[in-house]
Amino acid sequence: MRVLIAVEDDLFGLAQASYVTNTPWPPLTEFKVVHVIEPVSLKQIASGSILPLFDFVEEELHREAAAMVRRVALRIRDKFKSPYVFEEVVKGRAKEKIVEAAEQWSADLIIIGSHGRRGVDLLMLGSVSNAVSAHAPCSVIVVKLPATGSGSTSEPAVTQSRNEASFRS
Amino acid sequence: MKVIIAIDDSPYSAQVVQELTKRQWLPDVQFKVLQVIEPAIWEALKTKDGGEARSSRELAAQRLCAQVRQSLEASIPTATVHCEIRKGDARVEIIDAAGDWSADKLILGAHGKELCSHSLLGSVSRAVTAHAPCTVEIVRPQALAQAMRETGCSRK
Repeated sequence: MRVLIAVEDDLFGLAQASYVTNTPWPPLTEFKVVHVIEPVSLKQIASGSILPLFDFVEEELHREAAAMVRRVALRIRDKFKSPYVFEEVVKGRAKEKIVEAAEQWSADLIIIGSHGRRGVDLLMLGSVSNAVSAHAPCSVIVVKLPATGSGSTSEPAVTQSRNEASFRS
Repeated sequence: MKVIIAIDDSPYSAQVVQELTKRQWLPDVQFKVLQVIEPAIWEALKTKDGGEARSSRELAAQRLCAQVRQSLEASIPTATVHCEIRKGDARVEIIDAAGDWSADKLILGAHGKELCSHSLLGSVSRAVTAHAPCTVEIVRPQALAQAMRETGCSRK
């Protein structure tokens, strides 16, 4: 089995890593941690939120991305003691490159993160995770941050849920 | 580990379930097989016949959920599986079910009925991915992924 883990930043990277390390996988499962460095738009440069990409900036970005990918990969490597954890940094549009990477590597599964944005922000919600789940050649897992989702962390409501509308038929 | 599997009556759901039975699961995994019955317009118009039709749909849903439960229990012996039928809008009910049960994971097919639909991702899976309080897996069975590749659907 081949699992592609597309990380966007450290926060989600660690959430994705902990999802992977807490899930049982078949023996010899291969993992690949990928980060896509997106091209900088003129708009971003004009607004001053980002520097134009001089070579040295680009190098630095690449180094940072590689370090982040390594951090995530290390967690998985440590947990499974597996040599089959690969790292990759790609340049381009995230949506396209993630799908492309999955196709080229014939991944069986893609694991991505999604910001659990609400309200108006939802309109622009995880366009990457949406596009990837639509176009991926395989199954896609969208990992949410524990803090943004009430699902995994809220323990008290758990026990009473058995006798709700659910039934054994 | 609490996992909701949202199914519908399309053959696609069967493939999704089959895919899941091949996976590895934690020994303490609990599955909830969830099917949402969406109200049909003609049911509201003809109350009497509508009532009967509705209950027959409910029966069909129960039968399908029971089937899925059996195949899950057979292939994953340590798992506990139960069924739930909800009525209403599929998107809303699936998301609510995840919250109510504090599920750790929601699993659903990429889309129900159409293989090569206009949007490639069903409206249900899209809404659920966006709003669910937990991790969501969009399952795309191998056979279907293959078909998508052959028909060129995976490209915009």
